[in-house]
Amino acid sequence: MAPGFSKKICLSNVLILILLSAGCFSVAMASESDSGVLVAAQDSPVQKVDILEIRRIYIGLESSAGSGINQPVMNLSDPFLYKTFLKNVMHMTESGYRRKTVKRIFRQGGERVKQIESHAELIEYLKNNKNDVSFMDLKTAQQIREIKVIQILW
Amino acid sequence: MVLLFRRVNLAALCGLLLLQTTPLYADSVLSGYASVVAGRASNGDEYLADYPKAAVYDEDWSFSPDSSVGVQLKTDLDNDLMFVIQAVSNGASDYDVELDWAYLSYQLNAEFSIQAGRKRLPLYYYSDFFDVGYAYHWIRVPADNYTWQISNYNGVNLQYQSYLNEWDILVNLYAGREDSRNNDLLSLLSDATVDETWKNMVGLVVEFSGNWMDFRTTYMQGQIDRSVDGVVIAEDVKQVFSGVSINFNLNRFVFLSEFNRYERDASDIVIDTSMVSLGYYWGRFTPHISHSLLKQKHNAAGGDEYHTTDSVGVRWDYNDSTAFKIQYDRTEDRGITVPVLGDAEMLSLGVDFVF
Repeated sequence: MAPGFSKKICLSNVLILILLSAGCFSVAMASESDSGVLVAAQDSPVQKVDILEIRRIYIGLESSAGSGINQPVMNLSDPFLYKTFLKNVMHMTESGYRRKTVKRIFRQGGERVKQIESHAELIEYLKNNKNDVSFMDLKTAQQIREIKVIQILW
Repeated sequence: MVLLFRRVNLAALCGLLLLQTTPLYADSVLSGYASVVAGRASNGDEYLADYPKAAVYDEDWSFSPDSSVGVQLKTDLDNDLMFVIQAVSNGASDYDVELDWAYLSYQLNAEFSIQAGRKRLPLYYYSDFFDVGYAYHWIRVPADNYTWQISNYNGVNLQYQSYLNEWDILVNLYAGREDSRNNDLLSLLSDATVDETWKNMVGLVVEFSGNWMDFRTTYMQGQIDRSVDGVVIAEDVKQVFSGVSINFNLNRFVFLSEFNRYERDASDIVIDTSMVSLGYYWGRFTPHISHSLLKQKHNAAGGDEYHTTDSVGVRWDYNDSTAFKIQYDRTEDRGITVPVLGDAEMLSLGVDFVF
């Protein structure tokens, strides 16, 4: 085997390893930055809750007595985050969620889930409503001192 | 029993009035919906668009038959007790205000609740929100499939609602009765004053609902009293209603279906109704086609009511709370001894919104 060929193989292996490592790193970075979390005020008494409970409250049903949650807030500050939440937690499309909530209100009585479109307004709201919860991406949540991450949602 | 439920309704109304004056003690939420629909019949003298409300179009453009507005007030009396009232005004009823709902609901635990008062009679898939046009893609739900003369009941129900993995489960056991004086539909069809009572009703609805499929089954049995121009023609006659509905949401397609049977053995009456509809989500537009039918089995009295409707239409979701619609319907009335209003075609345009 020619020495040059061996060197080429070694070099190509190293390149592949670098690329794979970079790929893994970027996947890890992406997965962290793409994670969605349930959040509440820093001094909120709300603890980790079952994912089914989260689906219940976001469809507009009353929260279970033991959850400590007063009401959920739909975070509309980022359309992509909103759609990802519906897909990963509610298992619904945007239109499917809309139809379902309208049906529920006019079948069983009830109210629409509170919606907030501004990120700053959401933080302020959670600070003042310690038993309410919302969702945001993990990276953003980690940078805000006034709120705490209750659990990873996706 | 009737008196009891009237008292419940009266108490509920009084409660509502009290709440209006003592807002600090209760948390109230107001929701509502409205539909403004214009339409006209062609190739036929009249078009029966809505059986329960006896809403009829003729050859002149009209807004009345399908236009409606409803307002719902939900009040939390405490953490577990709430009161819901829903008032509706329909053009078909000369915009008289009627109470669709007026009930108290007590949450027994996270899954079970018990309700008492006046509610919609949940026979069909769309019965509960029949007037909420925003919740479906048609201008109106397919008329042949929704031909019942009683829309509400006064009574009690026990409801179970929970999740099983990705499935939303709803079980509703109900009992009650309804007295309808000068019933809209029966009085229109028989050209006489018809009083109808559905009593001793006991029913069960079981529904599984997921993102891609809904399955619902329904059963109700009870008794009928009926009088025509003051003459009693039926008393304590047993009736049974059963049905199944399956809906699919697959990618951009939506497929809706419903199959029901109504039986009254003593009168040898068996009526099958059904509906299938296919829609396609194309951005904010949902074009759709539908077919519905009502077919009565021939009996000794010659009863042979039989009509079908084919529909095509488009829904445009203008925003998150408003939808514009246009729809064309063609009805064939094939009954010989029991024709309804004859063959007809219908063009409708409307806007539905929720608030």
